[in-house]
Amino acid sequence: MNAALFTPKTLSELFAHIAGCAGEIHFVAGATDWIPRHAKGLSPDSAVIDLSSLEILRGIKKYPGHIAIGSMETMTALSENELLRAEAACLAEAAQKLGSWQIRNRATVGGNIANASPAADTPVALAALGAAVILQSADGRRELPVSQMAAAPGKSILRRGELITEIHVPIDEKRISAFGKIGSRTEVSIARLNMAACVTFGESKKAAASIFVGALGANPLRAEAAEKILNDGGAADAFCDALSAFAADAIPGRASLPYKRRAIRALGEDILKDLQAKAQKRGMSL
Amino acid sequence: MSAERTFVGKNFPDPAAFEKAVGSYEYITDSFPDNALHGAILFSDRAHARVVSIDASAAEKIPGVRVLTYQEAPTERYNSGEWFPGQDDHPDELILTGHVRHVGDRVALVVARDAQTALRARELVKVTYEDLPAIVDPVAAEDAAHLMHDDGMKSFPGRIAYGDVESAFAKAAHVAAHTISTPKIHHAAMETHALYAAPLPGGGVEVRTPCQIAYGVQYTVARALSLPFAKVRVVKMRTGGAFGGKQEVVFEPLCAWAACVMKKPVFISTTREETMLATRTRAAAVCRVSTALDEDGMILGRKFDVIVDAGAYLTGSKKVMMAMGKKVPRLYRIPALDYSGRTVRTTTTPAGACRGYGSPQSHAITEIHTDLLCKKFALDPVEFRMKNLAEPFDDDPSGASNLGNIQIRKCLEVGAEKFEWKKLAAPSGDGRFKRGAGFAVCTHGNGYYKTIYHDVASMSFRIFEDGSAVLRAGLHDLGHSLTTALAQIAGEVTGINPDRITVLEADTLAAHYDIGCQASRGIHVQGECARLCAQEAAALLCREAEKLWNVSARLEKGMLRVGAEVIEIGEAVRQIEMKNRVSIDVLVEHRPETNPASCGVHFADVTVDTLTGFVRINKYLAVHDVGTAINPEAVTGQIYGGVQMGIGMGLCEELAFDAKGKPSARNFDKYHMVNAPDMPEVEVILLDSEEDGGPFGAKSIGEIATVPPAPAIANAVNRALGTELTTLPLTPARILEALDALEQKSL
Repeated sequence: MNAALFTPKTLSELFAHIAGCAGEIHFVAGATDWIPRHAKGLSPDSAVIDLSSLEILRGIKKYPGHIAIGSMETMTALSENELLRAEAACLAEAAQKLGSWQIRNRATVGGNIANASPAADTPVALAALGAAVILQSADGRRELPVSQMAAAPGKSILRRGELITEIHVPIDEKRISAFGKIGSRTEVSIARLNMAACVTFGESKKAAASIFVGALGANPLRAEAAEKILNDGGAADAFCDALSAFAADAIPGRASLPYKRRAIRALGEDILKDLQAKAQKRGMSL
Repeated sequence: MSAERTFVGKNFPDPAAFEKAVGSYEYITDSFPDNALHGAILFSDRAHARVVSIDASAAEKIPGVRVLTYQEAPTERYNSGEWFPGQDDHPDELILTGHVRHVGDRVALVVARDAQTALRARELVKVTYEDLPAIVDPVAAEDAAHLMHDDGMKSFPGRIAYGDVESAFAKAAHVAAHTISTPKIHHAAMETHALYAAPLPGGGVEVRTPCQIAYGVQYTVARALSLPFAKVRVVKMRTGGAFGGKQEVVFEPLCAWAACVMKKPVFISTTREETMLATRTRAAAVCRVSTALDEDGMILGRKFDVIVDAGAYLTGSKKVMMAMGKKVPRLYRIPALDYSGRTVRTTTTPAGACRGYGSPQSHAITEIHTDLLCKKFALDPVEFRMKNLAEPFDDDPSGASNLGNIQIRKCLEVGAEKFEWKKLAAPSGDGRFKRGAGFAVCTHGNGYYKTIYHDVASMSFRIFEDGSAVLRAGLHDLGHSLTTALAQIAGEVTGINPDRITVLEADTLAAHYDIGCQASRGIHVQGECARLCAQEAAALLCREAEKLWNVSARLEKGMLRVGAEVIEIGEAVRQIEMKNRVSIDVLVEHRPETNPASCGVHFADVTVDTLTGFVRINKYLAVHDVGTAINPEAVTGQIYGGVQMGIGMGLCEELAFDAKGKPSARNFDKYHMVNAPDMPEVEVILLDSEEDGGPFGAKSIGEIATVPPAPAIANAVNRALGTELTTLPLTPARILEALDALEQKSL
């Protein structure tokens, strides 16, 4: 028996449909990873759910205290969105650096999270921004921090029949952020390392940093020692040393460690420079 | 400067350029006959194993499916790089095999009525393997050779030597030695391998393939299937890039055999992964090279001890190893040479021809070594080369052809000036980003004259009754505008607009003989043949016109001047055909008596990020001596592409295999070439020079364009960092490893 395609227009239609599905359920968003992965075919009885007609999964809207991003919004939409560029710059930058033009036109932020690739770009930025992922299934709704979405490399915590509907990004007008990535080449490249940093300026001018690093584990990892140095106004060298030590702790003995331990310093330098420039624009300094 | 020309030296775009750009140009995969069966090759997923059993029963239960296995395939061994009978390339390959020697080796062919069924049936074939040890290190491969092949051959040695090398080294003031490695590389033609074969009525087989040596395919298919040559028709199809990857026979004997067994046409197409793992690669090389200098910095002698990795089968890789050595006496004046090498087999994807045929490997070795030896003895790298480079019309001391009008010194002089070498030579940058410049000189051939291979091209030219013409030749245009260039040449001779000249390609039963698209012979040899052929046709036209009208006749601006009258060529041809009963059709066979050296120099200015190991190319200059550029835009196009390939060899392209023989990359997700954002602007200078023996003074560019980029970039990186990196490609990880080592040393 062949796989059956279904294109729901509402979530209730979707949940009603999959209630009757016995085999695998495939939610298809941008399909940029899904097609190559399943090019050889699907197992019989698979249900393929095309999410493209679910209007509820679209939109980038500002609410008091947060921005809600529909899970079907594309990388191109994120990178070009004025609201995100102003209030969650690192996310727009991460979306901008993902894959190629063609991939960015199709790939979605929900897919980037659900795919659970350790090298994914937007989850790192979302983690630094403290974003929450809204999940829905026939059983109801739940909310999780983006940094807990991967169970293992390539495997998300999503339950059967559960999908990502929205991502909520907290906003704070005193926050600046930056994203950086090292791949195998300048563009069209999968991250060997990526990093996002947010700095929120407090009343007393003291900053609060949030720094996450990707491609060192299944989920983006929080670099707390580096955050502390930034909060204390420490030197760039100390900041990079802390990142280097952080990489060494994250992947001890891994063949790629000698490279990553050194390369992460570059990310640290670039992100600091970027943050300093952004702070300066607001009349602040790190 | 040469006489004013009408078509030669002008830009003629590829007539199919628009269709290719929009994707509507049809290749064999888009346009093979509907009645063909589809073949899906069952490739080994093991690096080295013996097939214990193969069970096709489930697959063959699907209606119309037939599984052809190694058990019933012909047992005649062949060498895929042997393109002429008696070349004595060791035959060690079979159409299908039960002893697989690399991931991607051919075990069976599943044939079905459509592609989907063939692929589904292939999944159902059960193969049980008994694993054998993988052999991946070429340096240790000789000792394990008996595990791979039972032909008793540990390796395939070769040597090129002249002069007294030992005494050159004994009396040297300076001696430097380095070990340099170059990687196995995927050709990455846009068109993956695909082909079609059909039984011919009355016996025999027709093979339609986008190949580079149709007559070589004919020979190997005839040999593998025990057919007379006359019963093997090979038709060269439109080709979406080749770069040497379609020079050797790969799937042709298999497809032809399947068509004979099935008594029906069979079409085989491969994916990128299959083309990457199961066809051919650039041969990896590792070489100990040493040079002896006198106190003035003149070269006294050079020694090479090289190992070339052929992969699973010998293929043309011994030829590649020898070709590497043949370049050495043709660039610098080297009074004494000992080039010793051996080609070994490993359980990895077979190597073979790849753009430059050993020349990029050879020059990477010598040019990186030359820069490092200059550094060691504090010699200026430009001055050192100016002292030691060949002069025009030098003889090749190894006995190969005279170098002809080699303008390598001029190339270097012009390039150093234009690139502002003196200004850029000193490295700069003291923080994270370090800048440096480098360059590499190079040479390449123009055919096979005065080598152990024969070089001959045969063409006929007929002028039609409307003054248009056809050049019938055994050509192979791979997308490099060869047919356009030959139309320009024939047009220049006759005055017929190249748009009105059709140039035909290889067909072993219908076209004239030619030894193929190899050895950079397209312009210098085939182009000259086209010129001679058009000239003969023009002479015949004039002779017949004089006979007919009893006045002198000559061609003038695309018209025929007959006495005081000027008539259209077509009109003259019509009259001559009717009244003289003569068609204006001539056959010319060209046996070249020259094989000069094309040459060039590439300069690169780079910035290295010492934290990430990324290399950014800031500025790039390519200076070439191609004699006359027949189609300048096509020449510069070849150079842009050659530089892109060469940067890949220098910085990122490598087909690596782990200790178990598993490939590190199977597609472009892991195998990275340089893409547009990382590609520098390439400035091109073509020297104004002419070369005797080539059409209107022209010589080759296609292969040499990819020869110097890798060493030029490696030299720039080494200069920027103060490193002595000698293992290509210079990946970020290798660069950081070298920097770590350097920093450890200075602590």
